[in-house]
Amino acid sequence: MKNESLARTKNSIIGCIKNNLINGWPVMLIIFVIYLLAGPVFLFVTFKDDYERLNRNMQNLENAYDVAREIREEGYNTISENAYYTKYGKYTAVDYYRVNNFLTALDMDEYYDEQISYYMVSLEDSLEEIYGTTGIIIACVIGFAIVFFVAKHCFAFDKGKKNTDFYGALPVTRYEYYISSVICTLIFSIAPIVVSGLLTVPALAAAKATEVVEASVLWSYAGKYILSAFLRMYDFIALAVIANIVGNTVGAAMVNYGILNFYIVAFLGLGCAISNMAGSTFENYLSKIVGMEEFLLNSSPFLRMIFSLEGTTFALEGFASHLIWFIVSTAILAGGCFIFALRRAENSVLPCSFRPVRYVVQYMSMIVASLAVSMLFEAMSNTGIIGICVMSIISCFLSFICLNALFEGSLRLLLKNARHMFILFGSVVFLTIFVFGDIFGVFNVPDPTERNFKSVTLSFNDQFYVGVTAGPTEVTITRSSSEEAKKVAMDIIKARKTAYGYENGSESVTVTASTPDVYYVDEELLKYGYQNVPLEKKLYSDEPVFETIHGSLKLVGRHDIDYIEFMKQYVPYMRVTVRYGIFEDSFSLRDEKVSNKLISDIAEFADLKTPFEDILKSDFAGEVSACTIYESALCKLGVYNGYAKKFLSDNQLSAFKVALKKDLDNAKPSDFTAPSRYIAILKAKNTSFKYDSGGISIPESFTNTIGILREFGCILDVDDDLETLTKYVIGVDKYDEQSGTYKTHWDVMNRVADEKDEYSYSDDAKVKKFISENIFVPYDLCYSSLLSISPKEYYKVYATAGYKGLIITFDVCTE
Amino acid sequence: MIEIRNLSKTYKSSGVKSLDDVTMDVKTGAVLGLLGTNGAGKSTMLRILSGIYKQDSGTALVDGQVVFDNNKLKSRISYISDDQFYLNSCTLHDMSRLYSTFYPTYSKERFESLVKSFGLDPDRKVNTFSKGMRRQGEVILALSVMPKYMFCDETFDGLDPLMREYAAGILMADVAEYGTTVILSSHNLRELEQLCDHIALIHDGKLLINRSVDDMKDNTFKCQVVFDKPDISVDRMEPFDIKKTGKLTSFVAVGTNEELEEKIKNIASENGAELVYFEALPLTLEEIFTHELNSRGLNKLIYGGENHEK
Repeated sequence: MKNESLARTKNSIIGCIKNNLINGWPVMLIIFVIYLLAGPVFLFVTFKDDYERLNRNMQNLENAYDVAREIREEGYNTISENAYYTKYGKYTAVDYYRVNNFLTALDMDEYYDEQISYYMVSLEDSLEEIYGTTGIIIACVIGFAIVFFVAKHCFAFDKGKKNTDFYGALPVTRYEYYISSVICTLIFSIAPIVVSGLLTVPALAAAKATEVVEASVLWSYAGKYILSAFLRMYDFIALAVIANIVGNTVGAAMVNYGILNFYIVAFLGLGCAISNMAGSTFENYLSKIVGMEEFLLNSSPFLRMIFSLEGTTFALEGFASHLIWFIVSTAILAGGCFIFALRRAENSVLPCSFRPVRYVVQYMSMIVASLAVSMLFEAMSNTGIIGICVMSIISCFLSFICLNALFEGSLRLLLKNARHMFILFGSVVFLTIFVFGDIFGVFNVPDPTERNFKSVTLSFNDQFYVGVTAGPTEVTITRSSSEEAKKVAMDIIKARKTAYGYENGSESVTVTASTPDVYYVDEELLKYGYQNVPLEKKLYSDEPVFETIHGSLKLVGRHDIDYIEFMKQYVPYMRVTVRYGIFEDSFSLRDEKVSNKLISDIAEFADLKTPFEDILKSDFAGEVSACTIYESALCKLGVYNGYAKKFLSDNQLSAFKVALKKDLDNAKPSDFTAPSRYIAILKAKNTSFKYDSGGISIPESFTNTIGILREFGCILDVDDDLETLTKYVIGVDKYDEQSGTYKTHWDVMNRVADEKDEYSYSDDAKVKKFISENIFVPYDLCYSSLLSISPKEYYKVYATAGYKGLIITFDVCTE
Repeated sequence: MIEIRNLSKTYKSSGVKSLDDVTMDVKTGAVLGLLGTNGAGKSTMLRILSGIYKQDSGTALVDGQVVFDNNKLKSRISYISDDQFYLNSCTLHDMSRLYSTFYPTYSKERFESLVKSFGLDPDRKVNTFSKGMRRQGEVILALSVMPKYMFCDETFDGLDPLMREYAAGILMADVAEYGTTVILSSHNLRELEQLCDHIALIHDGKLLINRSVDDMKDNTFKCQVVFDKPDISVDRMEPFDIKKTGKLTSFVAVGTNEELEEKIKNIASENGAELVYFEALPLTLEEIFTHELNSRGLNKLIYGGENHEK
């Protein structure tokens, strides 16, 4: 009997799936066409470029290895730049460093294999990033629409009298319908992705874009991509299914589905405001909800866009996050099953099946719509608070009318009783408080001038930050001899434009890639950018942020701007992060001229004989970002990664802020182009950008600021206590499973700032023990960051004790 | 056997009580006609019996089992909705394949034979069919299931008279051959008269009448009477629609022919008159229903005011 029942269930489910597939072939065909056009074309374009770059890198690595072998066979352990140039003619810094890196490490067994291994890891990361980016786009643009319509199609049996009559009479239970429909939705949604993913690989192979990488590797990436796409789709399906069950008509279901996403955002916005009240941050707020962060970030494409969390979300591909996400989505689907069982077939003709849900949807939508419309209106009309007020009330009424019409099917019942009016005005009051709470002080958004700065970090390499270049990584130049380095560093610090470059015969110039994002503060360039580049977004305050550096710095000192940075990745852009009360947003400037000017300025500034363009055009292009000086003399001063840290007490911080504000207010624009110290200010309440937002240069004219820092014992000049300090500093970075990356030294800096850095060692014995117990292999060969050439004098090592183990970043200086 | 006990159903969205404490039985092999105005509750009852809707209270048992979510039972039930449903761009063959997936008793041979006899092209897209042809298709598919129970919601209304007769003939043949129990809902009394052996009248969700057609026909007559004396009352006959034309009195009365004749003779003798002429004429089902409703004072209610007489 039981077997018969099971067989019948199986037959019913298979029958439903079959029916759906047969009936839905036009839907499937459309989806296939969309994916086949959009997916592989996009993937191909991005993939191909990336492969070309990576293949070139690989080729260069192989060449460097051969050259290093050759040099070693001639009996040399290292080669100078001049010698390299003389011998091999063609010179780029990257080639040179690669060769020297190989020379340094040739004695290490299996070094070459490690390189290949790391190359593959880099490739994998890169591919995953591409697929991750593409996945987001597909999920947002195509997946959103497709999954919705697929779910709409697959749950058609439940829509309208005609369908419920037919399917309801068939010998199939409601659970069987539900299960088969979910399966069908999955098949419909996933199959086109699988096909498009698989087609990408032969397409790339056909274009000979994959000469270096084995086909099997590609296939494995395709598999990962498909699995990832599947998981990404899964939650979409869960939401779409619920939306389809709760709302019946196409319009209502679409509204419901959209609102499910908007609700998440709206509630998180509210949560964010509340958390601000409690002195927390959005990030903390998310993390307080166990598992929700992963789920929400993965499930809502709107969240990613609205809260600009792409950077972190791309990396959230870990098993745990997927697992949580999967479980939550499954729970939603299971919940949908019960909702569906509760749902009455006769309600299939109603726009919304459940009255309570309808009210929630209606009134919440009204609030969300009002928020969105009023903010949009203000942004377009620039009418300020009055515009927001008026439009929020108008849009509140309008959305109420529209939603009422949608759910009631007519305007007849509009405002039919006092209850509706009460809810309506209640909503307006709530909306007003929500939107203007900041102004009224309800949310108690802290005045940025009252920010509780945790620490002030001083840098000795400020001149290279003034006029820093573009790119996500940093260029570090080190000197072999501590004395010589000291001299150079001092020269640079004092003279700012000391000739310093590759031609001076130094044996120990190393370019390392480490950190993204560097501040760029240049009056001329800012002016140029402001005058020539259209703003992508208008500022809330309407103040011309880029007018002068003075203005910028003033804004930094106020609450409008968190930080200004100049970055170059593949397209240079300038990004300004702005806070609107409880919200944070950023806008970008993108312009080729700005980029070119920036590059030439820096080349000129640094007086580099090797044109910076060459570096940028080389394989290193895209990674070069900033120039920083490191040298052993600074290490002696307790400098870590070029920074000396001083933790200020609350009183000191207050005094510092007063002094800084005074200097800022009195500063002339020309002060900012003069040589200056660089000060990074770490906020206690950090944003999602985890490092020193709020960094500024301190010109010499800022006598109040400098004076008070000196008074607090901050090391402001190299010659301060130079001879008295000897210190080893090691920072250990852990591999972060969640993000799939190693923490950079910016994170280390943060941890140091927190004074809770258990991975920081300054005790000589511990440092030595640590070094001796670990085998250090290159951190990232792809970006040629390795050992300096004179290990006896100075190490600047990015190393790892096994992939996905510990990353150890340490500066060691010895007498 | 269908057993309906105290069946009630209210549509919560509109607050309409579609079925109100309905109790009735339909014997196996019977053909029941469900009669009622629009919104009376006929379709709701059929949907509950087909397992589409769930009642609020009461029971609706088919072969002693609840129908809702009962696959095994539902596989023996064919329901033809008043709203025609076909898959997108499908042919009758496509629909046949779909039915065969779900109904173990589905007979493809019967389908082919019925399609042929109805003269429909099974490979032609259904969306090119006329409304009547689509209705025929539904009947064919439902009959091909070889159901034990067949519920038709205004199924024959869209068919032309010839095809209606033909389809009804096939249906009746099934009833005769397989003992299929059929419930037909319709507004067409004449159609029901031809097909049904029982008629149930539902109004405002309540079951007003549930009688066999033969019983109704054998017990309701239009009497024409002539006495040799004027002004003799026939009130004892509990007549409806009394009309007098000269000496001829005509009225509708309930009872068998013999009973009515006996009663009228008694009236004549009691009044010292002689029965000159008496004839009991059979009524159509439509006329019987009209008179029944009149007798219950419901005609006004159902037909909106005026007596509905033919």
